[in-house]
Amino acid sequence: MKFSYLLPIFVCLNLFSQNQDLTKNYIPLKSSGKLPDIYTQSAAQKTNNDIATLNRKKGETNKSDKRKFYLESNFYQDKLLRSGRILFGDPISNFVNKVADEVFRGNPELRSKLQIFVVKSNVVNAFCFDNGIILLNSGLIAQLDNEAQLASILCHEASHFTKKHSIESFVTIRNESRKRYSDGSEFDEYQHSKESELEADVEGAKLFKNSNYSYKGVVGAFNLLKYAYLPFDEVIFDKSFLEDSNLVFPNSYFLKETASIKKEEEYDDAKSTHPNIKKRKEAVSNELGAIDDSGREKFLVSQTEFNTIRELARFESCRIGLLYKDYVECVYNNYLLLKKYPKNVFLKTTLAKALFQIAAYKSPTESDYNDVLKVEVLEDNSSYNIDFEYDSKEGNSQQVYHLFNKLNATQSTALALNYTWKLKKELNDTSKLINQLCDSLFVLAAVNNKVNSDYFRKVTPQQYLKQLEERNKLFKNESSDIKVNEPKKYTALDEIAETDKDSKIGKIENQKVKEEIKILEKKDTTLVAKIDESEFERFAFVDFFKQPDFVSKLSKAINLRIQIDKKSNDREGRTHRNRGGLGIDSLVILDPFYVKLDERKRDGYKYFASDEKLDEFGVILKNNADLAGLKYAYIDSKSLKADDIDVYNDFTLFNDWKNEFLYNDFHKTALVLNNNAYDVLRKKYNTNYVLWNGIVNTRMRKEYLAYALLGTVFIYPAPFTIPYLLRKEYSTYYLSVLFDLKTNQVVYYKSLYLKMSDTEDFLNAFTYDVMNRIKTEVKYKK
Amino acid sequence: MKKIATIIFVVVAFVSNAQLTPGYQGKKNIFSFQLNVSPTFLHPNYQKRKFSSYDGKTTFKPLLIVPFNVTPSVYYERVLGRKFSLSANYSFVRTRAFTDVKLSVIDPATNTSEILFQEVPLKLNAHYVNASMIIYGRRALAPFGKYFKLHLGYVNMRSKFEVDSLTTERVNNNGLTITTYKINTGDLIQQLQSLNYGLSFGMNRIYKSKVVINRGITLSNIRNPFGAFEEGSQRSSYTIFNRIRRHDVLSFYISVGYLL
Repeated sequence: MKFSYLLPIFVCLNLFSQNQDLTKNYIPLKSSGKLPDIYTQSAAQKTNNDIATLNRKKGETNKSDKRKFYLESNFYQDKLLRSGRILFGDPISNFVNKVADEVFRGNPELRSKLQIFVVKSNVVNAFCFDNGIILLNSGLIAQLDNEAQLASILCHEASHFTKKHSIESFVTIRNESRKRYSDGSEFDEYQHSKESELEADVEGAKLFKNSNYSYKGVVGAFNLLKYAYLPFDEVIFDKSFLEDSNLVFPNSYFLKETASIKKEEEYDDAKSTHPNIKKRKEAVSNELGAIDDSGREKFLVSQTEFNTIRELARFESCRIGLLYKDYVECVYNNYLLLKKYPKNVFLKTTLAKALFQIAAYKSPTESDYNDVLKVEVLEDNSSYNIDFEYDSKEGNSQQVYHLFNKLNATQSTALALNYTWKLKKELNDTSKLINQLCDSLFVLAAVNNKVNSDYFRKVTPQQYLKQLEERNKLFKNESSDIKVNEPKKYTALDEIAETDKDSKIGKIENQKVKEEIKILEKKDTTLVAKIDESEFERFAFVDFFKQPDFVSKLSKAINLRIQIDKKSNDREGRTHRNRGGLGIDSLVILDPFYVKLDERKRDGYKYFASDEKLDEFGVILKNNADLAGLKYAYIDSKSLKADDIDVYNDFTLFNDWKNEFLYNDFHKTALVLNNNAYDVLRKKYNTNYVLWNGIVNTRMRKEYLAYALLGTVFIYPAPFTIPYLLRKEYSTYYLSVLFDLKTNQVVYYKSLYLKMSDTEDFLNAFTYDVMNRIKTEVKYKK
Repeated sequence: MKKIATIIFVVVAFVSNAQLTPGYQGKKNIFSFQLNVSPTFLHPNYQKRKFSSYDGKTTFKPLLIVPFNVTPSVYYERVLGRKFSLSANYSFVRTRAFTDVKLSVIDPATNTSEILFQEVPLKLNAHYVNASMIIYGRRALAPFGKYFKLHLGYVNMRSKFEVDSLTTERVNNNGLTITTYKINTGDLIQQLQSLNYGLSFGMNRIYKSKVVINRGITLSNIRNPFGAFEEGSQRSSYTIFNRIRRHDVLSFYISVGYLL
């Protein structure tokens, strides 16, 4: 009891632990507090409860379809909640919940049924489940201009809940598709979805009316949706942002004019789930009627807090961009934030990472891990490609897409190394990650791009031209003939009252960006034009050649390539890795997966069986790790308890690491850059290794069923055909990957595809083999 | 024999890597009790079970179904590699055969030189000691999963007549016994030794991490016995060999074992 006075201090420490000084750095968001109930209850339990409740209701129609809905909805929701992408108890979620408290102040019953979480995703979206869980993407928060917009979106989502749209749509669509089979009647699913959305808009407006938020929020929310495909701000991309005195991009790498942003509200929505903005605005306008905005505010909770959480969401968007390979967008987002926070180390580091990943993606590959990374059972976005396509882009971000589209592998590498080396010096060589990035970029340049020591010039463009002049006597100063392309200046158009002039939408609507154009430093771009345009990167390191460590690292990388060329490859190392016998004592077993499918059925995913087998598989993993003598920490999202917030955060961290690693399917030098998972792993779990396992088991369709039946009729083949008919056909895919987070490598990998059932002995045999190979140390003879 | 031993040694050394041999959760020994079931594949005469007594008028009753022999064996398997193990087993066969026995006599009355006792039942015993080399398939990990097995072994076959003596009487036209001929078969015990070899396909399943259920099919052959069919040997040599060999040609087996 005597320490009870310390409690408020701990509470305060917890509350402020996520306060950040964004001028200096940004620490990625973490969840905090107790885990919500939805995490401690399994999807199977939730489904059984829902179905039991449904069965108790008398007179309920379409029970079969509703049961199906509960099954799919609960398991999908569970998968999403346990993906590690959900935030709760963090500043953004806390603020969103405060706004929800405010907007539903007059409807406490509804508020009590809603649970609101934030999803770490750059997609501008929000959605609601039938059980009152509302998920708001951080990408949406990053685009908001005020609290009122957020309130409007919450009202819309809450209306989906009150009107039970998700279950109603599911049942209707299933009914209609059955009718379509029986009587051929047409049913427009899009139209049905649009009707639900319009109803949610109208009902949302009614809820919004009861709040004290300004109606400008409603209009603002629609405008936000209209421009949701654009980055969170609209600022002209300054050409000098990535340049220095010697690394100057040719003018042809920049568009003279970027594509204007379409402002159309009445677009064709025939194949869209949502009505066009015009229809939505009209529906809401009809509902609201004459508007009296007096006494209503755009901010009711706190404008300062709103600005803070929006900034956090914007910083988070840079991190998420890296995770999901939106590198070019990440560069633009970094550019936007660096204008405001020029000394923020996180932004600079993130930018260096994005530049590195672009360079690595463009460079020729020398991949060891293609087999690992082309695992198709991973999540849907495992096959992401980096987007450099600029034709379809609009607004100022198009400039960045165009620039990176133009840059070739060597130029991208030179740009990345130029930026990262400067950052390394700025941080006084203290950042381990930046040092590692620099080293990798040297290798990327020398080994992958086959750059020789004399490729990069040691003289400035001016000096080089003079040399050319002296040598060839051909130099003529024609610089005055070449004009620098001035960025286009825009004029202001009408202003609208409800948008902030400085906001993204304000800028788009007003075309008011002309003042932002900086007069670029007057560099001698004519010289660059005079030299071959495609060789501008050869001057990227003129100043760096005066630094001995730069010269030394470059020459080491070139020597490495010479050695590799001689040996052709380091086969010995690869053999060791693939054969196991690693002598590892401890590891983290990370969130295994188990998928059971039935190929014979249309909805072939076996939810309950998958869930049960995952539990069994978890036990098998633990038992076999014990038997092999491994020390392990088992971290999964399924066995979390209310107080396991630290485990949840660790899980999120490792999961992000794993996903980033697996999405980087292009290069062995592709480092995992996005979080400090290794530090946590080392400090907390005292290991460098994370083991990830999974199984996909499929009940197969019998390919020769007709032949077998026919054969049985003819008696003589019956001894062969009857066992075939009686036997159940299965295929099982077993995956096991051991990551070394210190070296960013897969140190052990096992992938089996077997035509057999997933029996317990099968799982035990192969799992123990994996554990044994990890644990046992084998000394190979050279 | 030296060659065989050398081949086995080389194969074992090549395929086994003790450090990375997982066994089944580290367990590498299996002790089991096995039952081999084989159709007899014999001439219809052998498919007879009952006879009253040997009195020269034997009444055989044909069996309604194809008879199966059931042979017990004890089995030990040691996992030596990821896909490789060696095993040893001992089997005991007890069965029956029928043979003709000739008695050479000089009968002045008829001038016949021999008397033939037909279908005399023999008790046959055979002891097998086999060593096997087991290679597990792609989907398996020794000792779990499907396998291919080669075995080589020693067989000791032994026969004994079921009756101690065979007698027959010669009678004259009046029905009076003239002479009684008798053979003491009780002492006619014959032993044969041979090598057997064969191959098997089977599958091991493991339950509760301890119980091994093994099932499969074996094709096998016995070489000609050492010293059999030589001049002076009895007809029963051939019968023993033939009966036991046919017993072995094709068999199905199932075993229940314990994993250690």
